[in-house]
Amino acid sequence: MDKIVKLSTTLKKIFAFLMFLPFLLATGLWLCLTRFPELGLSKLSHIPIEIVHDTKVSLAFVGFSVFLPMFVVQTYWLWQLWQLFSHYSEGKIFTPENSVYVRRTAFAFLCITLLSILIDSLLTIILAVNNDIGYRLLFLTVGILQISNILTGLVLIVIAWIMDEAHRLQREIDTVI
Amino acid sequence: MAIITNLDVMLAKRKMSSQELAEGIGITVQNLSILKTGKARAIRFSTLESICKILQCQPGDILEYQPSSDDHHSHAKYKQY
Repeated sequence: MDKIVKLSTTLKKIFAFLMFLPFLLATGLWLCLTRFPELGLSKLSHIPIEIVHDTKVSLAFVGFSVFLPMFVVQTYWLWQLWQLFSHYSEGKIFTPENSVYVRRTAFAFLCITLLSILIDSLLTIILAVNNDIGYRLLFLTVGILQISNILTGLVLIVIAWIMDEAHRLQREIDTVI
Repeated sequence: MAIITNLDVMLAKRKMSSQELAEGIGITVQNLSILKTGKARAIRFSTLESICKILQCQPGDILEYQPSSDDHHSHAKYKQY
């Protein structure tokens, strides 16, 4: 139990710090795109797009808006993890709230994976909208990373169901004197 | 639950408080209360042994079977076979 509490306390602090990171990083990325285009584009290097004309502030704003659902889901995902490990750090392991947190974490993780596929495609359209005809691109990718993330999300859902069973067993044990 | 505990009766006979019994057995007063109020689903033999040792009694003195009406029906069915 001690090692669970110790590691959970550390993880709780890490997730508390990380909760603000998606928003800060994405804001920084889109600011870079307008002020320092080469630096900004190097951060989007996984998207094979060539921006012919300069990026405008309005374009950066639209790109930032496209990223917004991802922030919300990522922050929610980190918040659920923070709540889960807060409970673990207090020694509360097999509680019904914990299985709810694990289930929400799993669904949020699946959402993040699906959103990342969608957002990359939308970004190629947004970044290339000012390009000349013939230099516009629609990019859609489902690779090993996305498939493994989806499988991880499904595994987490099964773990949440196992936590429900564990809570039921704990309740039975609590009434054995 | 058809099994009821007569701990209160034995505690009164031995003039002992729940706190003293709980400390003697090595369980919390809350757990002893679960046992007394019939909310326990099971009791370990080690716990039963400790209770009998401290209260100087037999398991039958503290455990009693009182069938409910559902148990009466299933008992009658069993007797037919």
